[in-house]
Amino acid sequence: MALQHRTALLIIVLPLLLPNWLSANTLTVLNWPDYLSDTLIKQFEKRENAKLKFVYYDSDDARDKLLNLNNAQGYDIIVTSRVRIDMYVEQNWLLKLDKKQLPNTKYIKFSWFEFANKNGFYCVPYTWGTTGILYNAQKIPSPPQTWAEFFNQTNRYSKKIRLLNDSRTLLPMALIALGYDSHSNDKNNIKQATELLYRQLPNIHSFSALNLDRSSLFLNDSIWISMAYNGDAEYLQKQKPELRFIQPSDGTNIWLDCLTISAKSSDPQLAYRFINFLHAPENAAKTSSDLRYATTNEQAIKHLPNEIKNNRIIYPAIDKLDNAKLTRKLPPATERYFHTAYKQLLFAHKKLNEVEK
Amino acid sequence: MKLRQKILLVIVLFIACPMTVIGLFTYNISLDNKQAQVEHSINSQIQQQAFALEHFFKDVNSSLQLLKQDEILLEYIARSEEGERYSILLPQLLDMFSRYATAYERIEEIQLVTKNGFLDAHFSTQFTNLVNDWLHDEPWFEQLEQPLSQTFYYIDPVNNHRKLFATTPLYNSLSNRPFLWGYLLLKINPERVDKLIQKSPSQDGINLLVNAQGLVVSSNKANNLNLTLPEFVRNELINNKGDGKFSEIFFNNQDMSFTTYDVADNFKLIAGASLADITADNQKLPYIILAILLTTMLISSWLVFILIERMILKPIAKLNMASKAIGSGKLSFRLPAKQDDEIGHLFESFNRMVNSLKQANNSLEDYKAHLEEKVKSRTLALQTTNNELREARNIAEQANALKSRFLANMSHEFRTPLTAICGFTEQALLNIDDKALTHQLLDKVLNNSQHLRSLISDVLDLSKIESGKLEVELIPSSLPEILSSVVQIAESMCQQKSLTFEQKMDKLLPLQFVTDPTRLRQILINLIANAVKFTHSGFVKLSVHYILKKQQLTFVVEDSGIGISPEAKKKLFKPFVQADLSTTRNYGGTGLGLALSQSLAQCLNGNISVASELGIGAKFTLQITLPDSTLQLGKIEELKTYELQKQKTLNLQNAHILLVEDNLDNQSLLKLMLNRTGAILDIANNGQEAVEQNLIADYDLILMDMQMPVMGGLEAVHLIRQTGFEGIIIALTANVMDAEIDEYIKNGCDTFIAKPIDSKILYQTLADYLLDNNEAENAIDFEAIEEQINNSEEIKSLRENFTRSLPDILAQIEQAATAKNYQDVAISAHTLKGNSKTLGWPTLSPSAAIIEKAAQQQDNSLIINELNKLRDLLQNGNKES
Repeated sequence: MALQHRTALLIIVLPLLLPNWLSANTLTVLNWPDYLSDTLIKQFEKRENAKLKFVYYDSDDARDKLLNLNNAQGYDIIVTSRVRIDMYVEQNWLLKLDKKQLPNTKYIKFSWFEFANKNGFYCVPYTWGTTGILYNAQKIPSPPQTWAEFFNQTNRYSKKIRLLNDSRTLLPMALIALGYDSHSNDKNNIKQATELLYRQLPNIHSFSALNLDRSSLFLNDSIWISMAYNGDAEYLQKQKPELRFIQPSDGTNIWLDCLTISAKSSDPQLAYRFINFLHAPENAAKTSSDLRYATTNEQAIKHLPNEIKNNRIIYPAIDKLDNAKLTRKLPPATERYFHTAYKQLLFAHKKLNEVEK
Repeated sequence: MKLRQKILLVIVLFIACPMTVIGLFTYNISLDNKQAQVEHSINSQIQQQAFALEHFFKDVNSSLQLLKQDEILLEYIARSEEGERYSILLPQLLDMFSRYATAYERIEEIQLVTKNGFLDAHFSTQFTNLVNDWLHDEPWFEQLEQPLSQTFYYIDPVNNHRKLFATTPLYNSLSNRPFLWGYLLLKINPERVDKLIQKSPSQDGINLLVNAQGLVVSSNKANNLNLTLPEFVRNELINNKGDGKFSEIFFNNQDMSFTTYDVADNFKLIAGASLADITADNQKLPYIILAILLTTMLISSWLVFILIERMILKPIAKLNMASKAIGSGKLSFRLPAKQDDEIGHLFESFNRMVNSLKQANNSLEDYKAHLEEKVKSRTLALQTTNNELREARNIAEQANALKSRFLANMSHEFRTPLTAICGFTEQALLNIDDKALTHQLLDKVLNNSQHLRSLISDVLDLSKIESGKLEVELIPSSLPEILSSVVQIAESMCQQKSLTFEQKMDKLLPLQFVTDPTRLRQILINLIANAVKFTHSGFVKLSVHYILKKQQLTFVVEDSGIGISPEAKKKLFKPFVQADLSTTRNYGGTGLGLALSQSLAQCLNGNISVASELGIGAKFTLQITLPDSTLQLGKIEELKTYELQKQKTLNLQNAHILLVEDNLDNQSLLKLMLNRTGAILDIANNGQEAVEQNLIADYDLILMDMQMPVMGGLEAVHLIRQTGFEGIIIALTANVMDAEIDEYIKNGCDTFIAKPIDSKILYQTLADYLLDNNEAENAIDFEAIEEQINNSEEIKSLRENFTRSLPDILAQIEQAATAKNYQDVAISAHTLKGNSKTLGWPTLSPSAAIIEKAAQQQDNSLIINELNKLRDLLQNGNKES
């Protein structure tokens, strides 16, 4: 079975890889779904007479898995969270970037740039955001204001609640709910956080990232409340006005996503140009307003409409986020705990659902 | 021994016993069979389970090998860098483990352990939170280092939790020089193994899966889990291994039979069953066989018995019962001869026999019934005749009694006018010279004669009236004449009873009218006679009234007599019935008078009515409505009467009388009385003498004392009458109870005279029976005679003698009483009772009577008591009470 699974993955991936070898002006981008402005994609394709291919992942683990499968071969641009950069570098999956080929990076806010590239220039900061709670105000008139409330009162919206399927996001929020540091490496803290989540399992609808298209379960009221990245929340809110986003007062992690170039990219020059294109201030502004995420490009802010610029969901005042912490890389032992706990939770939830069915 | 018991014995001997033997034999055979079968089934069970277990372990090991060769795993252990492993590969590894666990349900947990005992990765199907990272302290860890087999068993000492592991070493094969990386472990759910050996051929059967150390890994019985089998048990079982042999071991407190089978990885499967259980289980079938055989035996025995009973015994019993029934006379009893077999024929001939018996019996019965009927009808006829005779006798007796009474009364009625006739005629003859007187006297004679005649005609009339042949003679009659004759007779009658006769005539009376003078006179005389008869003192009054307007002539006869009770009034006008039967005796009379009078009055167009008050008098009123109104009315002169001179002696000169009396005093007294009559008197001292004397002499009259020694009066009378004596017998008795008197009369006495004897009654009675005519009797002044007697010297001396003898008599009684000679006491007392009354000491009589009774009851104290009373009376000289 494991063999079959593996074959299946190859079958999916192979067709994606083939055109790259045939056509030089094709870029394969490994990305979250809906995480690039369609307008910019079309502009770039037109300008460079190039073709952009996309491979999507719905979680960090999925991306890791995809990259590990072929040792990052077959991708040109890899959109990844900042915390994974060091690991990918260790795996020799990322190209060390040449700043000269990325002149537009000068528009990037220096603090972001510096924070992202402590161990060498691999990451071009793309967007940043927080993790919070998205809920349907019509169904839930008094929403949880903290993670503690959120994780302890799942029975209020039993089977209408969704959790993110990323252990590195889920468990830190549970740690915050318990009053621990979101980056705690203490095994007992993690055990408690796991226990807290285990108790909520019967009320959990599913573990998943939010779907942003029309099939989103928020739109047909299958889900009333969910962990959400602020941009996704903002994006969905436009489609369903009853939805509200809460930034829990007991804390959150601030994440930063990077644009990287695969060490095995077949056309690194085109990749450089694409990243540079994305960081042209007007393009970065376009990205921010299209994706409803905050851009790291300082110059782009000027090009943003006020509606976006002043949106506190998209652009939370970092200095005013009391308990917010920039997401950092986890030590291996913590990673081990997170994964072990998360997989156990996932399996238990699956079994619960099977029993219910 | 009865037939029934014999048959039963035969059935038991030849059917039941052999079948029981066969049953027991079969039971034994099946017992042996069963043993073999059980062993076989245990064997096949254990083989099957061993195969399943083997398969199970192989399956587990093959999945372990598959997992071991998974590329993800190989890649994972190839990465030495922890960060890479945990950050990038661990999620994939865990996903892979998850898929395996889902695919192989028996896997409880997958563990990846480094060779130094670090739990690098693990996945459990049961949610377990983060666990201990290091396993090298676990007691089983050494088993990983020196693996005996791929599968091993371990008991968690903390909670006695069973753990079954399949394990394999992992080598880093991706590196150039493969080295031991660590171990891959599959934790198996032992309950899955339990399930495989759950089944056992017997209920108490035990299946054990034992590891090389003799530890019970799995069992169908939870209480055996985690046991370590004792050494000798293990040896015994291992020695037996393979040849399907069974060893009997005492296990879990019972004798059990075990067999062993090898399973993969040094496990041994042991199957056993309790011997008791085998036996118990084994016994079922043989028991069923035994039960069936026994049931069959019982049923067949029963059937045979029932058949014999039905076909032979019952018919015999029936026959027996029928014979008994026939014997006790139930001849209608028949046996049902439906069967066409020997029994049926037997029954038929029996029935035929009973039939002929019944026929014979029937003819006998017929004859008997006929006889009875005959007897019955004759008895009935006899009874009817008897009844008729009895009735006829009753009627005859009644008629006779009635006639006798009637005749007796009649004779007295006839005498009255006859006496007058005789008397007046005598007077006329004496005064023949005085023509006027003679004439007057003869007139009276004539009138009396006529009355006599009419009296006689009364009787005739009565019979005529009764037969409806009375003729009334209607002629012009003179009322004075009628009244004159009536008054004459009335005066005569009143004179005789010293009654005042009063007459009162209306001033104007029809002197002559058409009527039947005889009948009218008859009615009036009847009424007057009646009045006289029932009047003892006072008057009898005749009043005659005439109411011109109504032309009603009324005669009223009043008296101051005894009167008539209202009840008697109703019967007053019926023939032969007087107001009281006793009146006949007291007052005489035909009993015809009023009835005849009423009938006659009706013939004369009149009616008699009566008004009376008991004890004061009666008033009879005769009303006659005269036929024509042109009557000559006139005054009637007072009618005169004449007094008769009566004789003061009773002359019975021709009479021959026998006095039967034992008491000398009484003899003397009666002799005195009868001597004055001039009658010839013989004396008998008792009944026997009387009978003898009667045969010698021819007596006109016998005076018979009823209570005498030797022969009593009643017996004597009876005998005398049997000799054909037709004279008169008068009973002398102190017992004047009606019943006694009736008895005397029935036995032949004509009448009785009560003791103490009243001389007047004696004379009257004698005169009644011995004098030929009434006139003589009427002419006798009995009171004068009585006075003469009582004043005579003889009587006086008799009384004095008696008085003198009284103390002696009392002494005699006392003496007898002291000697307890009660018979003498009774006789003496009886004599005293009679004599004291007769001879002037009536006060002594009651006590004498008490003594007599007391003597009969032998009550001595009462006798003495009464004797004392008598002495007191005697001393006081208390003659009269």
